[in-house]
Amino acid sequence: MTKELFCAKEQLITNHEGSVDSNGEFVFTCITKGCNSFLKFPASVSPKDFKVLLEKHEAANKGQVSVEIQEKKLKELMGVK
Amino acid sequence: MAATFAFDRDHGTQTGSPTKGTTRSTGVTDVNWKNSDTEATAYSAAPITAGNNSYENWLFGHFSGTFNQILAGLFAHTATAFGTGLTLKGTPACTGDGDRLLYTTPSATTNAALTTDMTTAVSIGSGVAVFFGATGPEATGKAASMATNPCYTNYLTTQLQTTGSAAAGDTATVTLTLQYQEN
Repeated sequence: MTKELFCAKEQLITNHEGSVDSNGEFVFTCITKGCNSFLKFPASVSPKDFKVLLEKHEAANKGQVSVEIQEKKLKELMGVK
Repeated sequence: MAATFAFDRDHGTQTGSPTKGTTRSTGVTDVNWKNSDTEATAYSAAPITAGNNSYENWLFGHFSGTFNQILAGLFAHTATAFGTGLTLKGTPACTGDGDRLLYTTPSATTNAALTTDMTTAVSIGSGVAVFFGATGPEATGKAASMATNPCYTNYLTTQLQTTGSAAAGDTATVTLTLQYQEN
């Protein structure tokens, strides 16, 4: 099962695969190639709380400037391979 | 003269109102996410099994010494990437006194109040806002700048969450930065 969620690493809405882990917690893993970042929610989360938490997650993480991405851009700007 | 800075950490059962830890460790130098809330327990003696989480780490900043004001606080993971299967969740931005996290007894259950995804190293300018106040990290009255001495940040709480794909062994050594200005 997949769901579109905001991925903090990709800074995009991406497809996440949902699963239940061995502790009964809910794990949503970004299936964008090479990403594999994930979001976890407690076993007790209600559908209503889940929606609120997703909104908070997107608001809290939108606009992060990744050091890794900026360093890659710097190399491109400087013509370094 | 300048402010003297230290990272401190709360542990144990939540107590008081506003809540804080039963014990407080001062001058801590590492976070060491682990399957324990005991300061003296080495991370190697309390490893996180892949698929589980660390206990929450209730870190905060503590200022003493000589200063007029502490202000403009930011907190972020600023260097070195985590491996696959690891997510670092952290405190939300504190842009009002009501935003500060209230201490809860540390556990390995996913803490949904930690809404900031700190897995990727970011520029400190992308860090979450930190407020300052008197008495302790738990106390009310946090503000963007503070002249009280000693002075404390809000809780800079983090939790390392993992999936079964996390590799065995130590994680990469990452850098968490608290940036502030003083005058």
